Amino acid sequence: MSSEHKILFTGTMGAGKTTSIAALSEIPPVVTEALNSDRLAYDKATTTVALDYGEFTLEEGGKIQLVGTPGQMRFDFMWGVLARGALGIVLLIDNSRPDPLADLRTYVGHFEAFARNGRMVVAVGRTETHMRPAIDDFGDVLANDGILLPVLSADVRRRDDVLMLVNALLSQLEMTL
Amino acid sequence: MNRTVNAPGLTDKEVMLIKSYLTLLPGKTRDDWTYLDSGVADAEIVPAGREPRPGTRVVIAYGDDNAAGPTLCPPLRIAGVIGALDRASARLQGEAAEATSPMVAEVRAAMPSDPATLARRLRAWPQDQTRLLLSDGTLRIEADRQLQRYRASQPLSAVPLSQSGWTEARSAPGELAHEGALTELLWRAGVADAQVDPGFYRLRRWPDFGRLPHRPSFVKLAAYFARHGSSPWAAAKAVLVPQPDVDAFLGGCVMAGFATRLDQPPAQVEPRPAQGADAGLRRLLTTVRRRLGLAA
Repeated sequence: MSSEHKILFTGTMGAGKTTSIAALSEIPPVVTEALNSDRLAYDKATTTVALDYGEFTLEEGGKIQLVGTPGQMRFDFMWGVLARGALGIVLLIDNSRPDPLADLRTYVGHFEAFARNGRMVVAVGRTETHMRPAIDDFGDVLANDGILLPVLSADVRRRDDVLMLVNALLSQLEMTL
Repeated sequence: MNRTVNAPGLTDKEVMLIKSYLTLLPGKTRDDWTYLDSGVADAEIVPAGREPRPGTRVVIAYGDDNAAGPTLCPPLRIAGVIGALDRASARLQGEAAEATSPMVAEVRAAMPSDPATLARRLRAWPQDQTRLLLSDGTLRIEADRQLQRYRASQPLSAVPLSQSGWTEARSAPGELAHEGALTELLWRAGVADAQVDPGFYRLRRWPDFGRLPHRPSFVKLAAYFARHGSSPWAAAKAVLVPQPDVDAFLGGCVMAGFATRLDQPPAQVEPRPAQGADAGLRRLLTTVRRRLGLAA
């Protein structure tokens, strides 16, 4: 196996991809941010336009790359490119958005091969202030498509929560062996 | 259900913004909401320092994060309004269920001081009963299937699960003290009871480990049972975790509805020796776990 591997973080703008990568990376994450031109969709000053990048090294000298996709839909042409060769995907859903279930469908549809092979974990954020849809509702959407994935509520500002997501992803990967 | 909301204490600009949001909300909130220009609405958005109108059923506190009940924080955004209205709906729904329940189906029994007895009582809860009350006079648990909520006079001591080796996830915030999702109570009781009938099981839904307390081994067990129908004994052998962990995990899963018992044995899964790329990936995953300090 090559010595460089990748975990992809994807999700809508403001869902916490950059924060998740920063929680794990041992280098200051490389962030390609620009002024947010879509403040109707999400009101933050800047947003990722190409990718976020972080990494941590392994004992044997290998490296895990942590790559975040740009959040705005107009950059979705890059998602597939960034996902190529990834070990797995952490999908971050922002429950405060108008239709989080539609967001789930969009991303799972885009990364369907990963979802069907159990190489994805779904993290739902902001559930403490936005309790609907419930975690079960996300599970129902996936079950309707015959997909069973971990759907976990998470606050990615907490490193432990990000580790929990990676743990669930690794556990699934181990079961594919 | 149609509900009404108003906000007489807010500025004209804020009221206009709320009205415009409401026109966009049908289908996005649990109930359909309209703005009531005069009279007492189902819910009133009340800024800090101002009293709600008499007769208001639910108050949405505006700009007061510490208020009990639904809150809404400026600046007004549509997502915040949706969240506040949904929390108001939950309150109104709970109130309605309480008021219209013809006769609360109660099971009065000595409140179990041990989780196993609580688990047994919860397991015996008839499907046609909406509400369940367990009480011994000092400790009281009310559970409601329709609302999928439970309330307890003591939140965690009702089912004392805290012990070393546990990850105590943060508890769900509740508008009432000691209130939680019914799933959580069932999970806690089932895990502590750790009793499963002999047979084969398969996961139908991952437990939300972001909320539910769990042992480190549970994540691997969830991944295993999501992929394989298996007996508890075979799972312990395959995942290399102690049998009591498997029983606790399955006990919680079955009680909370995350796992189902299979009618017939699944096709045998033959363990195969890892070789080539598989062996490399296995080594890699072990190394990543070690690097991140995750349990093997």
